[in-house]
Amino acid sequence: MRHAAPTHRRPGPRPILSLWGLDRVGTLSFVVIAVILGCIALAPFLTGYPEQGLGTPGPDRLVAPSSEHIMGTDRLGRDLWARILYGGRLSVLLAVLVVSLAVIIGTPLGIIAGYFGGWVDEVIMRVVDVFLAFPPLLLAIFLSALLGPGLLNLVLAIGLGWWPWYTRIARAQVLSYRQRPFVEAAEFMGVHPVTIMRRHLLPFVGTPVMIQSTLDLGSAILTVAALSFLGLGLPPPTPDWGQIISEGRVYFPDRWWYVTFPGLAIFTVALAFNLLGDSIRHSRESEHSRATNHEPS
Amino acid sequence: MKLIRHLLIAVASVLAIQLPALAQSPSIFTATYSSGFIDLDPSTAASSEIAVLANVYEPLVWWQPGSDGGDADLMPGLATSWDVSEDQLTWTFKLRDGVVFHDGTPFTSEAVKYSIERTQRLEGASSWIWWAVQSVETPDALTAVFKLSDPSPIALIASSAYNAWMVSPSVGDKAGDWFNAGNAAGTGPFTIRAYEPGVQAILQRFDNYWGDKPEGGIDIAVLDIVEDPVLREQRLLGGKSDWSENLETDNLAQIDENPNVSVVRFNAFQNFFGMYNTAKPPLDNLAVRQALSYAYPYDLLVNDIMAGQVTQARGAVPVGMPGHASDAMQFSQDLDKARQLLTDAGIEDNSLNLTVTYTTGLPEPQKAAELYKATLAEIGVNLTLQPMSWEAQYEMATADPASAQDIFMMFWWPTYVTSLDFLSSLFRSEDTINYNLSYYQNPAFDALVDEGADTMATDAAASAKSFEEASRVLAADAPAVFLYDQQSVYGVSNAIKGYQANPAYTNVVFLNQISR
Repeated sequence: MRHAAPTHRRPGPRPILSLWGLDRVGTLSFVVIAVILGCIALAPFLTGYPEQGLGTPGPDRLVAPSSEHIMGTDRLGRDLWARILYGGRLSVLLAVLVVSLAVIIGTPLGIIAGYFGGWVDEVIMRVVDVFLAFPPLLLAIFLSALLGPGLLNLVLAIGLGWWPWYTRIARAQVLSYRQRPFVEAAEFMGVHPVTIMRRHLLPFVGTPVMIQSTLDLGSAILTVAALSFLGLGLPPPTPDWGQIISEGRVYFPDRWWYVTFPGLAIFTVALAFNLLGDSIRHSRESEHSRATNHEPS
Repeated sequence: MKLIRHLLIAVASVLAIQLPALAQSPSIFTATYSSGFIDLDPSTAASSEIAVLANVYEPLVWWQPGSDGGDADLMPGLATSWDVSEDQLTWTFKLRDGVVFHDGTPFTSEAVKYSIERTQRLEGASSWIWWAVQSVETPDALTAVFKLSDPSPIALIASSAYNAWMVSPSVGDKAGDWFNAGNAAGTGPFTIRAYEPGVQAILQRFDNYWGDKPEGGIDIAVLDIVEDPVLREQRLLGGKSDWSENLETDNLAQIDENPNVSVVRFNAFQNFFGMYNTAKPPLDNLAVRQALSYAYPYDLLVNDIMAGQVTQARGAVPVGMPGHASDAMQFSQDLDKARQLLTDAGIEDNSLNLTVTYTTGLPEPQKAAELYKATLAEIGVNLTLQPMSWEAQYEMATADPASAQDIFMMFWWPTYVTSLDFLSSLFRSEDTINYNLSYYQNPAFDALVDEGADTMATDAAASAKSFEEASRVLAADAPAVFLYDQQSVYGVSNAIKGYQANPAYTNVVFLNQISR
């Protein structure tokens, strides 16, 4: 009862469900993502046809959704629900790897560029500009055609076009903290630059990078699907949402289920990650503005 | 942008035809092909471009399938009759009078000599068909005499779909570039109006053609190249295309239900198989090849996936072709036997990793390869699927057998109607790799093929016997997994009358036979 009056309450209706200060949409997205992740983690227990999910042909081809095959079957008689579950494993794994690769390459470069400035900054940021000059999907298509098929190659192909965004974000954050007294104090005391970057600057970079990577997970899933759709993904019969759509396209609209369900899967996951990312950003921004407003001057 | 360009070309060509005779609008026919035309040089072409060439050029002789189960026959083309000497070494062709090339040059025996010599000089992939021809003599303008070193069925060879077209001598020394820029110099009923590689070819009726135009015959033909099966189907069903090949097998029933379109099927000499790499372990071992051939689910592929539209292959020569051995070894799925063979060959479970390559964009090879992967997994063999463009796949296969794919899936159809082309081009020992992509070498087989080739002209029955024996040897030796012999299946608009396919000229629409 010591805090009788609510101090920092955002305007508008109070969220019914609220996790870590996320708004309603963000919370819902989080729940959706959690459910999907749970489904793909438990894939072998959620389908009667795990081996079909991995590529073994089944007996009934192109069957419409029924109680036996809730999403129908594909052109080789494989249960689509199983294919989508196992395809989800791959999509999420690839997306996480792609974004991790981008963060691991991009963030340190951004911190270095922001901290040292001068020619280091120039060199790094011009390289970033070169990468940003290409549309990311185009660069990914080019690289994957160059590197050839394979899981790691696919991750490299997409991730190598993605890191510059993180460099920009990290650099911008570092620039705004670079002249703060605590950084300058550390420098005067002779703290090693690596330690300054790691202990004093990295924590400020963390939040925007996290927001961006949540947003990017959705885009990465989309990009993986796009590459697979174009035949640049993993070789068949690896389950993959983009590839299922590519195969099923020729059967639309007579066998509508073939493209519809994997399409819905991509749509749902990409949208949920995007909304969650947006929601995290809003909540952090309002926290940030509250924090600055209440800072003693 | 592309669409606009297409439209402009189409409009321009339509206008160009129409301006002289505005009174009547031309009759246009549109066909859709699944892969691009690679080489429009009639002396070296080796692939799908016969769709264009067979309408722009003519051979001395046409191959004609027998109607209602009758025997196939050779029909006069630019030659009206032909004769062979007692010793089988001199062939005399009487030529059609009053024929002119598109550029106005009259067609004479000089043109025959020029065409054959040009083919031999350029050494294209199918120039081997003229191997026995030593010289072409021209005693008079309408008589061409072929002098041979060995007996060879020249009239049949003259009906070849490849490298037997008559070209105007006015072409001179011009090379393939000139043809691939959209120029043509044939005597056929159509000329090339516009050509954009990989996009489309527009053909236009040749007014001075020696033959007749059928009632309601077409004036302009647009041959579009559409690699996407979805678009091919939509164009056909939407009335934008009158003819299409390579439609999705599972959709044929629905396509046939469309009131404006029919699915038509013709016998063909076309088969589909996977070449084993016999040049490197473990597939240099017969037992391993047999194991892999015993593992394939033929029934599932033929009756279910291909919906019974194809028949399981029996050896390398497709059924219906002289030289096809009806008692050649035919594998059927037997996984226990396959496992046993692998064990006997000393191959441990899950130790064998193989790669199969096939052409992207065609649905059938991928389905066939996915089935193979699943069934091989059951006998402890891991198969990796590698879809590639045809060019990349072929380059990989011909570079170095030791680092090439283990299984190469491909379709084959004959240059001219002979089993020699299936046996020799695909499996006879080669010093430089051409199409023997299993790198198969078997002197006994080579001898049988040569025997068949040598007696082709003199004793057709003996030749067929040799080819049959060669087919048997080959089938038992399993240098490839022979999957199926197929029909040609096309979707054709009901507005088109008189369409007939000819199995000797795969995927050609003979434009002067159709009308609307």
